Amino acid sequence: MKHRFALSDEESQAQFQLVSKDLLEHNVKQGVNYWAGSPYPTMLLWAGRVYDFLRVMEEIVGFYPAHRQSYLVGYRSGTDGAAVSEVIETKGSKKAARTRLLASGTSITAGAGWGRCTIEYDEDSGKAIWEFPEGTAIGLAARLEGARTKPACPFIAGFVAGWTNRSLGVELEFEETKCVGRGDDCCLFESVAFLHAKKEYVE
Amino acid sequence: MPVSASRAASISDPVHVVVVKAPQGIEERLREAMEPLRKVQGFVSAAVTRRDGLVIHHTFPSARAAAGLSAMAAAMVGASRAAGAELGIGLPTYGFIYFEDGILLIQDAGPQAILACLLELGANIGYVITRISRISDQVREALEDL
Repeated sequence: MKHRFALSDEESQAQFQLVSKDLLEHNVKQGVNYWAGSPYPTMLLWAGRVYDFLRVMEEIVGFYPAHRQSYLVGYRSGTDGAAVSEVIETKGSKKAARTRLLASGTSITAGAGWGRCTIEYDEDSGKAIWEFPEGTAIGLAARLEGARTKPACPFIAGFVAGWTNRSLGVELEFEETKCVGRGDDCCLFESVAFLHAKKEYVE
Repeated sequence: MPVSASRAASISDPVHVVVVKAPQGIEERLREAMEPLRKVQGFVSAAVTRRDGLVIHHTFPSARAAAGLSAMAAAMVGASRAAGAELGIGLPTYGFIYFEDGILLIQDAGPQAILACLLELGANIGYVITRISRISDQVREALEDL
């Protein structure tokens, strides 16, 4: 069975209202924000700065080690985010709840301003694809910095991996096969059996 | 279980990444390729790591021990490559670092992987480099078939 999840314009706007406004609280004494009752401070950060973390690391250790570190941070964000949302998605069978939790990834990424995406999941093959037709916020920021040859969003790749794995109870790895930051028409993250290093990224 | 899920990286513990599960045939070829290293005098342990630092195969007592070394080895190779480019002296071929209680030897094993080998202080580095070079070629060939 194949699933496809997407948001309408209205739903994207509603998720922005909920995720980035209604659930955000400001502690006036600290001058710090908190989200959805979480004890962890939450702050507004330009997407370009997230891209900068990758770029600076790339200059020192090269693309793949930098990619992995960024991916791991995103992965943790994805698993933690899905774990928080998991509490809400408890209706129906466990399988249905898992699928709804996966689907809710579209709400979070759009609502948080990371990018509006569609998620496709094929139960039979186990393949999952997250597509950001207009690009992720980080990819768009990278594009503004000038064209690059390698994908710019390992953080998001890690996030979608963490979200997908936590939702479905699988252990998929994701590869960013398209990135607006290197001139592609969208940002595309596909689950892969084994991530191959690309020779052109190594040399 | 879907094929892609069964072969996927074991990344459920995101902070302490463990091992990438290479397909069965490849795993066996890597094991065979690494076997001669065990007979090298002064050999302690070795790991084949993906270029991003995830372990593909190792001889360490625990996957966690291999994971730490692999992540660092990938960063060292990456930093060495950056240094080579910065200095205009080309790509690194291999590197070894003498520690107080051991030697770490790292070598590229093709575009996909890095070979990191931990040795005792008394090991014959010249001989080990010869063996490691041969094994690196085998690792590269095995991973080319993926």
